[in-house]
Amino acid sequence: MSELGPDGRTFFEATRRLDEPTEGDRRRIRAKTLAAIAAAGASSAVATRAAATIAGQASAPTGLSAGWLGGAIKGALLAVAVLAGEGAIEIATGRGGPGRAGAGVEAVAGSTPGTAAATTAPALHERPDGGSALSPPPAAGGTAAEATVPREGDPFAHARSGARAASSAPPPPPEVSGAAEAARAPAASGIDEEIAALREAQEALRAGKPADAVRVLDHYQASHAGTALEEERSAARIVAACQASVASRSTADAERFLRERPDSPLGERVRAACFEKRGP
Amino acid sequence: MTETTSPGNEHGTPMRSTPLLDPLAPRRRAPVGEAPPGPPSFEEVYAEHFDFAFRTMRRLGVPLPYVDDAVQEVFLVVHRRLGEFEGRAALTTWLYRIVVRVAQHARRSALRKGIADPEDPDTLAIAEADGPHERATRAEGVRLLQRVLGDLDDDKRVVFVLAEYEELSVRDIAAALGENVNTVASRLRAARQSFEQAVARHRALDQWRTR
Repeated sequence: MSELGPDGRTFFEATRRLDEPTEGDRRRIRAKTLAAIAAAGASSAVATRAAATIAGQASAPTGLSAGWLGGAIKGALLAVAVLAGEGAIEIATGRGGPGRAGAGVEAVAGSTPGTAAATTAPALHERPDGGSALSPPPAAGGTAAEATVPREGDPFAHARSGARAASSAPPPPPEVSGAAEAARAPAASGIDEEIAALREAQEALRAGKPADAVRVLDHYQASHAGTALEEERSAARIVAACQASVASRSTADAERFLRERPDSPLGERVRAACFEKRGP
Repeated sequence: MTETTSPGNEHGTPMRSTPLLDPLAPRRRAPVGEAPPGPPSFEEVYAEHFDFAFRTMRRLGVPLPYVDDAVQEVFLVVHRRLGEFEGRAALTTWLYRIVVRVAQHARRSALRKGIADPEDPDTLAIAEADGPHERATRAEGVRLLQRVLGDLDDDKRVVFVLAEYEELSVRDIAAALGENVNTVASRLRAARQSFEQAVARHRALDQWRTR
C-alpha cells in the first residue's frame, strides 16, 4: 500500500502503464539481444577470423540503433546476419576486436547483493567516433572482462575465473570450424545449440554448399521446434535454399516468411536472396 | 500470479516481494530428499524480467533512443553470468542492481550528449494500436511522467520507482542497491514527498487534469 497522497496517487495511477513495452519493442530488442549473444558466443575463436573477413562490410540487419551502446556492441561482435552480398549466414562483427560489452557493468553489478554499493562506476569510455563503451578497452592479450579484478567478497570470482579460463583458451586449429567447436561445447544451452547450427550452416554456405546448409537447418528444425532463434533460422534456411536453387519451394517459403513477418529485420535479406536478380 | 509478502515497508505495510519472479516461485522449494532446482534458464529470466527492465529504464530516465541498447546490455550480462547463480532470489536481486546501474549510466551518457526523448508523439506514445488522439494523450502523459520523475534526484528516483511502480519492499530495494534498509526507508519517505511536490508543480504548470 502506497503512502502517496491523493494527488500523487491519482497521477501515479494515471501514469503507471505508460512505459510498458509493446510487442514491437519485445521483438526488436529480443532480436538484438539474441544476435549479440550469438556473436558473443562466437567471440573466442570465430570472431577474430570473422572480424578480419567481414570488417567494414557487415551492417547489422537487426537494426541496431546508433545509441548509447552502439559503439560497444557494434565494436565488439554482433548480429546474426544474413548477408545478401554473399548470400551467406554470418555471425557478423563490426569494428574493433572481440571485446566484451558489459564488462564494466559486471564489475559493478557483480558485487554481493546486500553489501555496500560499489563505489566505482563502470568505466564508460567516450570513443573518438562519438560512441561510448561500458567496457574498458581490451587489454593486450585479454578481453575487457578479463582485465577486471575480482574484489574481495565477490561471490562470483571463482566462477568468473573459470569462465575466463574457458574464454581465454587457445583457439582451435584452423581446420576446425567454429560450428564444430560450438557443437562440441559441453552442456550447451538451447541457444548455444541453435547458434551452433546457424554457424554450421554459415560454414556450409561459405564453402559453397548451400544444400548442406539447408540440411543442417532442417536437421535442427526436426528436433528443436519453436526455439529462440526460429525467425533467424527460417530466414537462413530460405536464403540457403534460394542459393541452392530449390526454386519453387524456397520462393514459396520466402513469400510466406515475408507475409508472416512483415516487420522482420531479416526480410530484406530474404528478398535479396530469393527475388532479386543476380548479376551476370 | 502467486504473490509472496515481505516483512513490509517502513510503516509495516506488507508489500509484494519480487513480483516478477512469482511464476517461478513454486519451483523454489525442492521436494524433501531432492537437490534444489538450479538457476532458471536464460529464456526464463528474459521472459520474466524483460518488461521490468524496459519500463524501469524509461522510469529511471533513459531516453527512448538508448533504451534498446540498455536493455540489451542487461541481458547480455545476465546471459554471460547466469550459471554463477544458485538461487533465483539472489539472481533477481542482482538483476535489479544491473538494471539500475545500466539505467543510471545510460542516462548520464545521454545527458552528456544532449540526447532526449523524441518530440514526435507517434514515437513517444509507444502504443501501436491507439488512434491519433489516444497517442497524443499518451505521449503527453509520458512527457509529464518523465518531468515529474526527473524532478527527483537519482537516489530518490530509483527508490521511488522500485517501491511504487514495481512494488518492491524496502528490504528488497536495499538488497538490490546494496544500501542499508533504514537508509532506503528514509529515502523513500523523502522521495514520496518530492514526488507529491513535483506532481503539484507540474499540475499547475501544465493544467493537468485528472481523468
